[in-house]
Amino acid sequence: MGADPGGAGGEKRGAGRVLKKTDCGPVLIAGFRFGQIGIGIPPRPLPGLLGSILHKRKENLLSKQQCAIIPPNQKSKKAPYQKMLKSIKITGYRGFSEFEMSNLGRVNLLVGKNNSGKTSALEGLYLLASRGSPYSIWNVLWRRGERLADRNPENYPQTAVCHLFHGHASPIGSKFSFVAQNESPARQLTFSIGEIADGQKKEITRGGIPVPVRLGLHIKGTPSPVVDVIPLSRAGGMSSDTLDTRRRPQNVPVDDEMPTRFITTESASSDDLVTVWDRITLTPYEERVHRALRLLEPDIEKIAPLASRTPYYVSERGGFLVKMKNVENPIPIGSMGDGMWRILTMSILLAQCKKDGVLLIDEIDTGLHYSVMTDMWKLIYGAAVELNVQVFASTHSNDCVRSLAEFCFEDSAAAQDVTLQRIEKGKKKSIPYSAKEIEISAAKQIEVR
Amino acid sequence: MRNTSNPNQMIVEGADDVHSVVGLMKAHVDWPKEKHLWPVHIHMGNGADEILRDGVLVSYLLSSTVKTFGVMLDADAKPNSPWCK
Repeated sequence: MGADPGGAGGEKRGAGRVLKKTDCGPVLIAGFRFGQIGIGIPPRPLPGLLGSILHKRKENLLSKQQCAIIPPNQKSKKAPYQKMLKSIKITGYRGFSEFEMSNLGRVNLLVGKNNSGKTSALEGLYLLASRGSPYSIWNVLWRRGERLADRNPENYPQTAVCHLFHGHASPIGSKFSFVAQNESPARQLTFSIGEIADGQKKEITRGGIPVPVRLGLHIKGTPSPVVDVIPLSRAGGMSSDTLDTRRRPQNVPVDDEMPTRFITTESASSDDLVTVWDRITLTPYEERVHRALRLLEPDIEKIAPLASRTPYYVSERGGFLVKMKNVENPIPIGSMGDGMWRILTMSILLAQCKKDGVLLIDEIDTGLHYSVMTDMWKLIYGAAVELNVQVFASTHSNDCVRSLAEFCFEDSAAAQDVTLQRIEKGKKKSIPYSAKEIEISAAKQIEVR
Repeated sequence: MRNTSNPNQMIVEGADDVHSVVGLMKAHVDWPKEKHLWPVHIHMGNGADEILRDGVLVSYLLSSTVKTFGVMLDADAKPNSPWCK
């Protein structure tokens, strides 16, 4: 074949056959016509063979590796995976009028353009897994800055609930819901705006003066939600005094609640991490945290929490000291960069979600160099299996996707339990990728995001 | 336009086929010299077997950027065999 694509060489092979249909038989050309835009990709799901390939997925979430860690004599019992979510359907929440993610695995990476709904999907999982706890609702709204303006500093702060609803409006009767399929009966939760019955009426205190409320955010679902109704102010605000912190500390799950943590791009506060550290100190998991930190700094020997806490306004990255090889004095972990804090956050909060929990990580690659990301996935997957945690993460990073592909390539058993889900704005379903499709896309530099 | 973001993409077996397609197009339509201006990005698929390997075509079709995708296979040996897989 000549090097000149425009020359006569073009007729020697390929193109010549197209033009002349010579004795060598025709060149097969499918789905493409120059000049005009040819045959487009049909709306998914594709019919026929390709459709079946696209949507073929493992039926049973118990992969070989998962089965392997269940002793043979216990296989008939309820496996610890009964609460792992297989799919989630979101209706009326934020940008989703209707949306579904299916074929979920133990580790799921959400990709998509800005404002496509990745974080909203994570929030939906968070609200569902935490059974609509007022804290989770508050956190979701507060983190996005969806607050009601109030000039009186004595008033309790309020978050604007209307932004949770599709279209940013929440008249009486508006609702949003989440339904998830798993091994056990479907887990579902519906939030709606409605009047509060007399027996449910509470008072929101504003500047020390009780204000009667008429409307509330009603929550129904299976298993039963943490509260039935959250009273709303006249302006549609959820007041911080409805959180009732004295009755239930923020991070303590109630019975039948999936232990859930949502790691935002700001990671977690040191108070948060030190509290959770108490649960893993002197356990085998402590060494896993050390190994995680050594991904970024091999000279780390161990870390330890500080008994005395600095005020939160002094440092959000305090609370832990790091002992390095050949360095006599321990150094604050805050000295070691954002990536170290990110890894510490992920590895510690994974432990908090153990036993049927869900860990949600927004922009998982934040602060991390691409060279450590494959090891990061190993760490996350290993801990997720060990602790029976389902992980959902989002990213914009191609490096992050490629590192997941590399992880899948290196560990074919684990790969069966990994999915990538692309969320496209306005689409009713995410586009799930199997591990094989993740690998191929990465190897051939096919854009998945 | 970056190759990966071109909505029109096709895959052919190898470099020879890229030249063939480009030659054919140049003979019939205005075809830019610069590769990044081509109206379609042409992937080299490393042979029919690789193109038809399980998951490859699906992965191209799943791409977030592809709107139109074409496949060109040489049918010199057994015209039907690759498509029977």
